[in-house]
Amino acid sequence: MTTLKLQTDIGRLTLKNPVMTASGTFGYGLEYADFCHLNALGGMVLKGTTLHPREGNPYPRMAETPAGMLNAVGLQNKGVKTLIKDLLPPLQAHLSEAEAADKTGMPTRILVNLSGSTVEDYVEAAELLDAAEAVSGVELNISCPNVKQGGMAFGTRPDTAAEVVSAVRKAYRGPLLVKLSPNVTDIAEMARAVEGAGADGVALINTLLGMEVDIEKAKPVLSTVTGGLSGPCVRPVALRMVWQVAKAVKIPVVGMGGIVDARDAIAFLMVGASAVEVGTANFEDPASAEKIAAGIAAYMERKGIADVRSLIGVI
Amino acid sequence: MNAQTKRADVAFTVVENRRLHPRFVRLTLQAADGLQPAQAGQFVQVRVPSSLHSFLRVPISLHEIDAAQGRIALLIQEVGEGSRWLSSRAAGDRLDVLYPLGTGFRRPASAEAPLLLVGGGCGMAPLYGLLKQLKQGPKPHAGRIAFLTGARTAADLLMQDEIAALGAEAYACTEDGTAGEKGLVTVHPVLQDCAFEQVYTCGPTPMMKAVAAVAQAKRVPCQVSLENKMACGIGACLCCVTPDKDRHHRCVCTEGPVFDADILGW
Repeated sequence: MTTLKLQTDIGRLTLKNPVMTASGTFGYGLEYADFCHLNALGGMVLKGTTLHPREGNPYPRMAETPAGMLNAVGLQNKGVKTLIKDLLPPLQAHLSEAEAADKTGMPTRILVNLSGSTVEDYVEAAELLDAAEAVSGVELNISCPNVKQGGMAFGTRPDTAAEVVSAVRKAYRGPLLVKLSPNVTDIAEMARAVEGAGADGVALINTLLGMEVDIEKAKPVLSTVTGGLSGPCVRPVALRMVWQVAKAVKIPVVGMGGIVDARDAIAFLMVGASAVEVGTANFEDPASAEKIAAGIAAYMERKGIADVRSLIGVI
Repeated sequence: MNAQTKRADVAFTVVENRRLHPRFVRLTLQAADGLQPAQAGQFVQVRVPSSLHSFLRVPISLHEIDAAQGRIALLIQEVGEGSRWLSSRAAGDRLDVLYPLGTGFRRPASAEAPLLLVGGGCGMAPLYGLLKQLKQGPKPHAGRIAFLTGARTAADLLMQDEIAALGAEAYACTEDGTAGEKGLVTVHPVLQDCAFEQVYTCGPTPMMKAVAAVAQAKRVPCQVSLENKMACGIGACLCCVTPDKDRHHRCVCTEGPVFDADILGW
């Protein structure tokens, strides 16, 4: 077997392979350690985090839908201070122990998905993350559909998106990705706006706004009526949007939306994603991200492809 | 103890599918090796084939656990596509199972304490498992155990003989009065008197709330096992939360599914 090059770059951020886990589907990482070799991942994007802890939305927060699910968790999280103080150190310790045995010699990157209700909150949390050594990058969440204030409100207009991105850009010096909402008319315009505001890359797609009804009770299934749709059902929409955005911006694109296997992941690379995130699939198979990384390597070997970067943007 | 238990994705083989009722089967599963110990009240996430309507695993509480022998049993109630598929598994079929998940029932401090178990529907599964662990575990419970079952009609009462065979007092309530007391479990004198030091309950939410209210009025601690809808089962998605008294959201799949009723704000 020839040595496969799985390494990929999201701008300044080098990953040992193109597979990361998506925020909101992988907790703070260690939840999965019994089932998945975390050091087999290129990176993991931790649970959407805000400056202050949040309790999130009332139950019910989840509905199963054809080939996917709706969620309305509403950014329940422990807040950025607890994340940095209590949650990152054990994750980092786990990873460094595992990395000692890893032949690539490269770390699994820890990224934090950052959300907020006001520009000031985003900035204050970003400053704290800037000082946190364990954090390799920030994925700015301007696209959560499940919170009343902030979230998607920032991410559905180019001017407000640019405002929050440029403010965070000043506060956070490391690699800054911006996670885009698919609930817009022109996603390429949104991507260009955040590129202009100083983003190092864009990540897409967040969930699609949807709803489900319980006809026995004649009521919406979710406590919030609407929620975010994810899973294999969104993949063709996500793939189309990643393809459009990759053509529209010069900064790297991280693709996600319904990826469940290596075939799906490779399709995202081919339409221009430099890396991918695996989300809802983690619920069905907690080892899916690790299996997808191995599957990409197997595909490259079968096709005689030495460097994964040669797959990026061939379409 | 549960927190330190290493969870795993275990490949089981079905060894028996026994129908207990038109809507319930008991699946007995065998792992290739021994299993981590598990507590009654803990649960598993079983992979079912993706279909037009379902994509996620099906969470099912452990019904019987013989960890040393690598054997577990699940009580399957046919409610949706996933559980219907599971109920039609036959000996020799393979199942992919995340085991063991969550926090189970806590044993009483004293082995002499009189205990009351109150179950209904598929809530019988973990309570029967608890009874078995109490009676047949390494330190068998010496105190009195009463097991009250609620059902619509006599034909829906599950495992009554097995409960009695384990040495528990078996009581029943049926809504139509065809067996035991007529009415819901809350009318039964064994619950009304509540001469116990601990109550355990699992079943439909309104039943558990009513049982917990009776226990609370008598100042008897009550553990309830919730069945909130969940996606991951391992504390990552936070879909399954329930509010506690301080309106903080508790994660049912990791902090529960078994909670002290006292702390809940349901």
